[in-house]
Amino acid sequence: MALMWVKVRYFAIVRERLACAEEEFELPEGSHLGDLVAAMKARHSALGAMLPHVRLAVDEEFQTLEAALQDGSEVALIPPVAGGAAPPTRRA
Amino acid sequence: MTDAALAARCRLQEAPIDVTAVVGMVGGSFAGAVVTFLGTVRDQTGGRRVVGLEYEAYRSMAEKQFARFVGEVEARWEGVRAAIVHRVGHLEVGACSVAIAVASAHRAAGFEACRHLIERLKVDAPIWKREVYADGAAWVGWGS
Repeated sequence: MALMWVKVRYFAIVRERLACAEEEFELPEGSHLGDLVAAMKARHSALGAMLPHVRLAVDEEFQTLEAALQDGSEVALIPPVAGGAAPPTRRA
Repeated sequence: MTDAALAARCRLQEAPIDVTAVVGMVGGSFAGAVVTFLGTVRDQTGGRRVVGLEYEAYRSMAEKQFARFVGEVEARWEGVRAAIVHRVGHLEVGACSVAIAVASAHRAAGFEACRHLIERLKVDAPIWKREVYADGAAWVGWGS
């Protein structure tokens, strides 16, 4: 199966806890955001507890786990923002 | 209004905010009012003394979101023109962290549009705030 690469960016408290600002993941072509989240959890054990509190963006747009990924997509984990309003929960 | 003209009124910067310049982005002969909102750094939160703030942003997405918010208000309130400038990096107590300006023919639309912009920004702009205390620091919005 053909593979694709996606870039993942971490910010603020997530970046600090993972000690990582950005990295790449290799996924089968046709993968969705949910598949990437599963791969991220496998790589970072600390991520599981944080995921219910973060939103996800693909190419600078908020997305749900069903969103399709392309080769070269940029995914970002968006922890609660400065306003402090409770974000919608995303389950992985 | 072109997308580029709108994008020029939506930005993040390290440098201190020149409020007069932000007002200048939106004003014009069409305007009978310019409403501004300034967010400033408070010296305490929940009784704990704050000595400064660190703002971090997903800059490209934040500027895109600002443009989306401004597009929303310019579509919803006819004839308004808005700008959002937000700082990133270290801010001292008293510094201006965000400036919003809305020009309109009449004041009512300006007040409503300005309120809409700050509320949208507080929820959907990827900008994070770390409060620095005399004895530590914490990301706002995360809990513990």
